Amino acid sequence: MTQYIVRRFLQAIPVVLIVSFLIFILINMAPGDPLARLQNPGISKEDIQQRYEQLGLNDPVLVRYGRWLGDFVQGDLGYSMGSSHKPVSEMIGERIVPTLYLTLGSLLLSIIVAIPIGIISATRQYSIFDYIATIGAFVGVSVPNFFFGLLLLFIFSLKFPIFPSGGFTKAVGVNNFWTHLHHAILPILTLGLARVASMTRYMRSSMLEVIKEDYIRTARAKGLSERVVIYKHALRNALIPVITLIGLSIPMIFSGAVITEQVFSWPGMGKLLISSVWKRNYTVMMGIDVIMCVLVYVGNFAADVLYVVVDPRIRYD
Amino acid sequence: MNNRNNNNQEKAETPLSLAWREFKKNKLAVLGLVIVILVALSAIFAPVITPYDPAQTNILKTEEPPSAEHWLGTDKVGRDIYTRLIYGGRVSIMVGLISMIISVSIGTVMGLLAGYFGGLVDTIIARLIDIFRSIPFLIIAITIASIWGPGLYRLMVIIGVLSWTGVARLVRGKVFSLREREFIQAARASGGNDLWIMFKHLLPNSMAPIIVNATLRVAYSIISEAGLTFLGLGVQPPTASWGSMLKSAQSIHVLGSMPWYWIPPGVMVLITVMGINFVGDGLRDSLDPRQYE
Repeated sequence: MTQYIVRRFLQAIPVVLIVSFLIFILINMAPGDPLARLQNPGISKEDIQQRYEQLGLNDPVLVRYGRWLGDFVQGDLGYSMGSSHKPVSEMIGERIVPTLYLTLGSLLLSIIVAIPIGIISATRQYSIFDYIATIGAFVGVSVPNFFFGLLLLFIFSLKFPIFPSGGFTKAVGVNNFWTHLHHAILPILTLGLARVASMTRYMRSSMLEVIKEDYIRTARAKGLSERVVIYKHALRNALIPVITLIGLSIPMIFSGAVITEQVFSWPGMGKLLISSVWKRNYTVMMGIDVIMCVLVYVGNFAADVLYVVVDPRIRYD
Repeated sequence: MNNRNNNNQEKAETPLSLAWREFKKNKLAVLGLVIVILVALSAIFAPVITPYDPAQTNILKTEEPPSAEHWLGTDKVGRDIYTRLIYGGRVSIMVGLISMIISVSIGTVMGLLAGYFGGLVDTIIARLIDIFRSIPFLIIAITIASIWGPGLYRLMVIIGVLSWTGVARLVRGKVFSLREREFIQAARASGGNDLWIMFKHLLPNSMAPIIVNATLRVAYSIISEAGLTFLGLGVQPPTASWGSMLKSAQSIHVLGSMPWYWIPPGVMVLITVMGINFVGDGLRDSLDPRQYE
């Protein structure tokens, strides 16, 4: 098991390298000159040229990437190109917790809601419940998440002010678990809806497959109660493809988080990315892109480990 | 379609009419088709449906509530919102279709190459697919759009180029299963070259999953367009699109006091995408029931 985990982890390294290199090249293609603000009659061409040399901007792109990578593995993502000149790692550090709160929250929501609905839909196929759940799932995967977010904001924050309209913390007073949750409910619902919907459909079809199997008939023939058959024998097998889906949907959750954070002024990495895009703050963009990809990898990795735990047929070696 | 000759038990019926008969049985799929046709017709005949010009401003009539004259009122420079909604459909459908064509073309070629040649070619393409699938779409799309600059055509290319992996995976799997079949061996034995076999024999036999995936790609592209435009990185003003109309709801004033401005474009995206998803689901069941799971 440990060996499997280590190997799986090592496999991720080349992918992160390639992805970060591609993003590096992409961002290097950006128009503009980092020293453009120095261009004025008071500074000689030679001085500017020297400054380029000092900053290593004349080096080939591979050399500069190598330097970036060397800093990256030491946890240094460079400095913001904005007026603050804060270290990028520090800026991301401030934003990562709200983003993880939002993404993990909606993942948790989708698991808690979708699995029971999927089970009931499958065990009562073609019932009213199944019909409503199926239509609901279609609506859920078709609604753009920011539109759903705007609707929630409109109804529950403007018309009936039950929830705050944005942010992760109260401006005044003590912030505890409940105030964070109070702020997070609408964003988590927004980001979670599509996940709930697609996971419900997956859970339903997976459960329908499983309950047709011979071992389920055997379990019933043994005289086990329907409850034990479904929740003990069928569920565990039906969960396997759902875990695959969780792994596959992690990139989409991060994508969705960017828009959701924008709708709810959520102080996460997505909002920071959008604001740095407008300020052409390339070091921050680079840092966020790479960290997001790393987070996706960590998520996929967790799903893989979970997969092995649920499915004992998978061998670790 | 006419080359799907793997089942010979049907004599009188062509595969197309067989698929259509199956498709008609699915009520949601037919409903979806009706929705898609209605939305497409309204976009095509936009100038006939509405008397106004989507870009015509009127400073004297700004932010008016819905009335008999302006069904959904007017926006902050006095343009007719209903008109912009109808014309916005053109942008969304165009982005959906063109992005789909780009991503399906890339994906099909990649899938054919990987599946047909196998070996090193397959390893490289499979790795590429893994990499593309592990990057959050929107984050890279935002980065590219910010460096390249936003715009309608760039948006289509970005969405298309970033979302070919689904088709590629399906085609690759399909080609793997077809590669050793007798008719491919026969084609090879009769001297067909690689390109001929790929595009004349393997491609037509992989059409079912491609068509299903292409349908869902259109829906996905429409949502992506709306999302990127909402973030300010897609369609630029003054072009009307559903995404740009939703973007206006980022202002708390529009969000709170002009729901007739931003709710209709959201609903249009929702029903269009849902209609396409219904059709896609119906196609999946009718084209080849055993193709999936």
